[in-house]
Amino acid sequence: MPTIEDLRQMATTEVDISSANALGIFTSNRDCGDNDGCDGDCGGDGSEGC
Amino acid sequence: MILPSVCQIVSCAMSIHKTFITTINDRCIVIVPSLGKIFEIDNSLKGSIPAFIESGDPLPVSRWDNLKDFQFLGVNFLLTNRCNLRCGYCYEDDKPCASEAIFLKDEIIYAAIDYVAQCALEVGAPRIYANMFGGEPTLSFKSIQKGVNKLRSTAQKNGIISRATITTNGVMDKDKAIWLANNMDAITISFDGPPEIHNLHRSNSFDAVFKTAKTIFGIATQKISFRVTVSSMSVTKLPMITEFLGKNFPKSRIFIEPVFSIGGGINTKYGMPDHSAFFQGFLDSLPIAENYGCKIKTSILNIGAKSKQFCGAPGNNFMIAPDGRVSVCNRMVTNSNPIGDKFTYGKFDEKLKIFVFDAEKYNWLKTLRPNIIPACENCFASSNCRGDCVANKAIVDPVSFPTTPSYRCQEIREFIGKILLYIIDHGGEQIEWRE
Repeated sequence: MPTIEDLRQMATTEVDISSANALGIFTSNRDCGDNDGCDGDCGGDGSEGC
Repeated sequence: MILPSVCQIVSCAMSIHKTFITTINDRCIVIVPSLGKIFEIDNSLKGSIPAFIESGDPLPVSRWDNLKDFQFLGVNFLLTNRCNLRCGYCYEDDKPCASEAIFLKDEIIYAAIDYVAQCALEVGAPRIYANMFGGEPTLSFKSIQKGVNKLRSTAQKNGIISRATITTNGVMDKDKAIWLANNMDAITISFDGPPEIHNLHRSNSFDAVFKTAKTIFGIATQKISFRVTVSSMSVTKLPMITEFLGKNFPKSRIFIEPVFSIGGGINTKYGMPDHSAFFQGFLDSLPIAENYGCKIKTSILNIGAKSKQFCGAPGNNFMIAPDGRVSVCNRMVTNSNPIGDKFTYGKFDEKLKIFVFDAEKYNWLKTLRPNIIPACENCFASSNCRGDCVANKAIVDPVSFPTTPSYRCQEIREFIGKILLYIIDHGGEQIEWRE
């Protein structure tokens, strides 16, 4: 099976998705710690997922 | 095909990750959500991109993945059906004065906190949470205080940590705002922007909400978030709204959602905005948010999330209505839409003093995952939108919503594509470039 290294060899650009955080985008892995998803009023209930 | 979970067990170190391929503006983009990677690949190599790749990095595990039926690590309390505002677009029924005022009883709050603490102990989870919601939760302020005290003491007794949060319209006395700032872990205030927008949307409450937000921001800057609801009237002003919030509350988190045509949102003149206009407004807001150190989000944009489901509706949410009913969706339990009952799967039995669940309804709710939507299977956007909100879809199409893509699928795909290009082109913390 191909590996991520094989994919890297084909790529002109590789970006870590969490770098979006530096661009003003809320990213779950950085802004929520280990939280994930939406627990309540989608997108903004102040609960864990948001 | 080897199942990833099996592979993880037998090969110990390697796991298999699915790739998603799309072409945006004639550029070939590959996403590997489970590795958190985006690649741009020369179009000439598009036919050679593998559908799966192997990596030593493990597959992400969501906090929901290993829970059994009826195990919850947190609870959302809908403390009352009362509200001190009359926002035209509110999803709750638009005749609150005509209905009976109901306040969630303290004994149900205590029982729910004991329940989630027991679940946490069973699965070895390090944390429990409670979110205070409504109606307007601060109209039941003593219950907030009792609930938070109970949460803290229960967590401490069991050697785990706790997280207390609230979503409020911000219309409250200064003393209450100070208490929230000092005692909650996160506070989300519904705030639709500058006065000329907020007052039209939200019952002329700008002055009171701004004061509350400033009070909390001054005490606990890192705890505050804003929920911005965008209507057909304000959608073209979304960058201006972001500018307003960023300038007054730098480094805050801003959650931006469109009005949805449910409850009061159906007949208001400030109704659901055009989907494409909403997403374009979000994109135009990004550099503004970055400039003020803010982070913006909308619910179908889930960068870096581990879960494969849009929200906890597929059996993971434990939301308790003011009358003690248990639901997976706050919107569906406080609205008289006939399909709302499908999202309610239990109640607090006041004689037995326990929560009683309907297994048949619960099992049906568990099926509401994007993996039963054929259109999502190989979609590059699915790791973000994850099938979109099932409640909204159920309103739009009450019959076939579990297996059909979102009513705004095309616009979501265009938006996520533009977001991916934005991340690539604006660099962020770009890792590597190759010629």
